[in-house]
This record gives sequence, structure tokens and C-alpha cells, in this order.
Amino acid sequence: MTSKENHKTETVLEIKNVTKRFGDLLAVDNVNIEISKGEIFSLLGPSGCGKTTLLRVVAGFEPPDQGDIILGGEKVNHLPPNKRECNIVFQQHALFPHMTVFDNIAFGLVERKVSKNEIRKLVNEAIDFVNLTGMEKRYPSELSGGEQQRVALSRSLILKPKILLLDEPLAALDRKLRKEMQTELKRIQREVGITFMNVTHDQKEALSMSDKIAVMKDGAVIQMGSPRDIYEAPGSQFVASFIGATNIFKGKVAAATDNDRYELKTDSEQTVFMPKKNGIDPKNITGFSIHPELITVSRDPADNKELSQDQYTILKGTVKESFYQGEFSEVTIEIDGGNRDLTVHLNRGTHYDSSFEVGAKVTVYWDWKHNNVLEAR
Amino acid sequence: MKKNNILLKIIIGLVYFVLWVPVLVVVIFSFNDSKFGVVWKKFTFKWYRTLLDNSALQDSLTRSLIVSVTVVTFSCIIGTLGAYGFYKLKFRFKKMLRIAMLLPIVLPGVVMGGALLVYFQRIAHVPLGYVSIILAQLSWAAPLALFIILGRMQRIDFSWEEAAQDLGASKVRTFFRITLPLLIPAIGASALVVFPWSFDDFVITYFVSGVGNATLPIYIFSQLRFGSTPTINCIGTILMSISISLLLLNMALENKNKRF
Repeated sequence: MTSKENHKTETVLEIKNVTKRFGDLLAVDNVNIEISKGEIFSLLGPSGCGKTTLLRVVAGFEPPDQGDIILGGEKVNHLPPNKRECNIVFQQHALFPHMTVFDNIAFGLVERKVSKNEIRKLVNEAIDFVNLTGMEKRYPSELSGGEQQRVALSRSLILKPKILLLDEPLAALDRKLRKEMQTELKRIQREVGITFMNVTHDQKEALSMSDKIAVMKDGAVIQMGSPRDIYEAPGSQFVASFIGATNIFKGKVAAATDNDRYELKTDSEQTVFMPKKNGIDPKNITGFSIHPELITVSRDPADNKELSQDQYTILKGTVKESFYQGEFSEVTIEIDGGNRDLTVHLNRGTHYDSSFEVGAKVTVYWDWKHNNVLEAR
Repeated sequence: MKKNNILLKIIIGLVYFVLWVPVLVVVIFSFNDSKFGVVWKKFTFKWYRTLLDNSALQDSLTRSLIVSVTVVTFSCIIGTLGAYGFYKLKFRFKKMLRIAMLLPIVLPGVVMGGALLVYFQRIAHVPLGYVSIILAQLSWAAPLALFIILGRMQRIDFSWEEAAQDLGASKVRTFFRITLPLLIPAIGASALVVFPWSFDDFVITYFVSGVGNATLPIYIFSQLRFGSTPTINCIGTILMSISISLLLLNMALENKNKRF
């Protein structure tokens, strides 16, 4: 085998044209996803967007109305959940309350008729691996949330599934534990090398954990890409606003455009440049988004600096509100003439001595190349 | 404050006194060597001995035990399956069925007994005896078991069943490894409720038992017509100790299953 073949990414799970209806409700709408081996893939979306349904279709609890689930190169549509080589970590863990930690973890091995000695060896290894040594004889009700989570994880991992499906794995934990478990999940995934498909509505969790994210809305995947792509270049207003605090300007492309940029007329009659993006019909453009941390604020007049329209998007406004957050300050600025607000994050490093009192007249500007084109979708 | 406490204790003491004295009297006088209960003569086991010699009483006791055990067994099976269906299936008239099943429990025994007698004799032609008694008791015992088990079932998270299947268990294996063990306390509890009720049932059983099929309560009642004998105190004492042990067993089971 050449090393080239080794590096070729192998598709573990392929979701092909999958559609699922519940009565009149279109829960999953023609979804196509490919997940490569060793990847952490996240389905991200608000509740009711169909992400959990899609997970249940993959696991075999719901049959798809159309399309195929291909697991490890094999079509598994007809297989019941107990015959599929994928396992779920349920949202509320679903640990068996009448079984000890040991028996919970051993459950799947017992079903596979593994010998008793082998089970003992494997389960003890698994317990050590997730740092639960000494808790074998406890019942789920005697464990903390984080410990329950780890039992649920190792109960699935011990079966060495081709892909591990995580249904909002961290939602049941408190904030501090969540961060801890996130690190733990990444460690486990790295060491075991199992592919993860993670369902979440928490965009921060998705951004920090995933190799690839699919954003879902109304049953359909509306954008798929790396966390960086999703955060920095959301393609539509929905993704932009769902992924995190951002400023969205609506507008239309004005007639003539230069070679490398569009000229956009915003709803509030400002003219703004935007970088061109391949494969987008200017007619489909509905506006742009700009993240609060990319914006610079200066008192009028603009720090004695000559700001060129060719380089910056420049707006004038009045400070309306200022919230101190510690690592940054969030300032809300009312843009002149537009009757709209702009949120700006002032980083301590770059704005260390600037505090803006409410009512101050300011100029805000940013490199127009940061303007992110939004399409109707 | 302290005075209140004392008053409270006195009242509680009185309540217990009133509740327990008749019971204690029965127990004490079952050991009294006097035909006419009110005077204590001396300690004896002779009434228990007459109990052993009384074949009519033993017959009725056997009959009662057979009836109760059968009723408990069937009501637990019907109750478990029924509750499972009630919880998992969606069907039309579910609410109505629920109310319909409550009826045999809430209807007065006289009404149920009379109706069942007519039904067994005129319509279904069920011979009066074991079959009719057991069927009549099941008409309220099975719904009772069902509701007790259903109450418990509503605390079972059905993602447990899904998790078991996800980990490789078939549906049958899931039922026996997950669902049934989780329901055992509820099934046990319903058995512990149904057994004494069935053993104790007088009104409905009286209607449908026919001639010569007296269960224990019916036998005791028929004996009372000849005046109370200390033998009845013995029966009372024995039944009481059985009931109390069942109650304690129930409590022990409850405590053991506090895990979820």
C-alpha cells in the first residue's frame, strides 16, 4: 500500500437525498451529507430544524421516506437499529437505572455474546479510559451529570461503532462541565479515532468542536463547511444571525460594478462596497453582514486620519449604549440617517484607552473586504 | 409550644388507641380459654386447634387461596400488557376506554355482583363456581393492576428501550432486559394490592359463587349467624398477620427501588 492511498479520505457515512415526513411536516428535506473517517461533523440548527430526526434516521429509529443511508459503503436502510454499526449517545444519557456502571457499559458486549472474561477486561479498560475507575458498582442515580455522560459515551464506544452519533451530548450539563466535557470528547475522539456526528443547537459548541458543520433550517442543509467558513462567510441572513452576534445590512446591488467589487445600496441609502464572490448572481444578493469585532470606532473627527472610501466602509453615528463585558466592551451605535443600530466589540488590546460615553458622536469604519455577501436562500 | 406538643401526642395516642384496640382485642381473645369472649380465663391454643379440625373452613380457605392466586396472576399479566399498550399505542377512543375500565372499580359491588350474576346465568352460561368467581374478580382486579402499572410506566423513559436497541438488543431482548425489570416493582405492587382485595372480596363473590362454593369471607359470614365463636378471632389474627407482612414487604420493595 502506498502512503498516498493511506491519506485518501474514506467516507464513513453517506446520507443521500434523504427525506422524512411526519404527516404534513417535512422534517428532513432532501439532505445530502458525506462524513469522512475520523471527522467530527456537527449538525447545527435551531430546535425543530430536523437535525435530531436526521440522526434518528441514521441510527435506524425512523425509516427515511426517500433516499439512502450508506454506512461504511453499505446501504443500511432496511436494517433495524440493533443491526447497525453506529451508536447514539442520547441527550439525557438514557443510562439503564437498574444496572450498575459496569453492567451499563457491558450491555452491548453481552448482546454480542462476548465471553465473560473478555467483557470484564474490555469494560475495565473502558472505565479507566474515561476516568471512572472505582465507580463500577455504582448506579446511574449515584453519579454526577458529567460521570453519567462518560458512562453513556463508553457504553457506545466499547462497541467500536463506525460512527458515533451524539444527540446534544452536552445540553444536559451545566456550563462549566460543558467546557470540560467538550475537551474530554475531543481527547476521546482523537485517541480512539472514531468518527463523530454531533447534533447541537449551540453554535459555540459546534464551532469549537467540529471539523465540519452543516447548518440546518426547516429540514434542509443550507450551508456546509469548516467552522471558519461558517463563521466568517455565512452565505445567508439565517446562517449569519444564527451563528452569532453580527450586524446585518439589507440592500440591493446597484447597477454598475467594478472588476473586483459590487456596489451595494443599503436600505438606509448608504453606498457600500463588497468583495465579489464566485458563483453568485448579483440579483440574489440581499445584503451583507459584518462581525462586531472587525469594526473600528473613533471619535469625530476620525482620529485625524484620512479615511478613503476605496479602502473602508465608513459610517457616522451616535453611541447609544455601552456594555462592559470584561474581555471586550460591547457598544451599540445608532447610525446617522438610517435609524438602525450597529453592534461593535471593542477589544481591550486595540481599544485599551477608549471608552465611549453615551451620546458621543463617532465614526465607525472597517475594511470593506470584510463585508460578507448574503444571498437569499 | 411544648404544651401543644403534649396535646398533639395525646390526640395521636387516642387515634391509635381507637384504631388498634379492636384489632388487639381480636388477637388477645384468640388465645382466650373462654367460649364467651369478654372475660379472660387463661391462655390457650385450643381455638387454633379447632381451626385445624374444621374441614369446611379449610375448604373455604383453600378455595379463597386458589381464587386469589389465579386472580393476582391474571390481573398482573393483563395489567402489564394493557398498560404497555395504553402507554405506547395511539388509538381512537383511548380516553373512553380508560373511563370504561375505571367503571368496575368504582361501581358499587352490589351493582357489579348483580349484573355479573345475570350475565353469567342468562347470557354467557358460565357455571357458578371457580370460573365465575375468578372472572367476576378479574373484572375489577385487572383494571386495578393496569392502573397501578400504568402509573409506574409513565416514569419509564422510553429512550431506555431505544438505547438498548441501539446497543444491539432485539425488541424481545429489550423487553426482558430493560422494560420488564423496570416494571417488576410495579407488578409486585399491584399483586400486593390485588391479593388482599381479592382474598377479602365479599359482595361480588357472594353474588356469583353459587351453592357450596363459599370462599373464606363468605364462610365466616355464614358462621356469624350462629353467634361469634373464638375461632373467628383466630382467623382474624392469621389474616391480619398475613396482611401486615405483605404491607411490610411492599414497603421494603419500594425502598429498594428508589433508584429511579
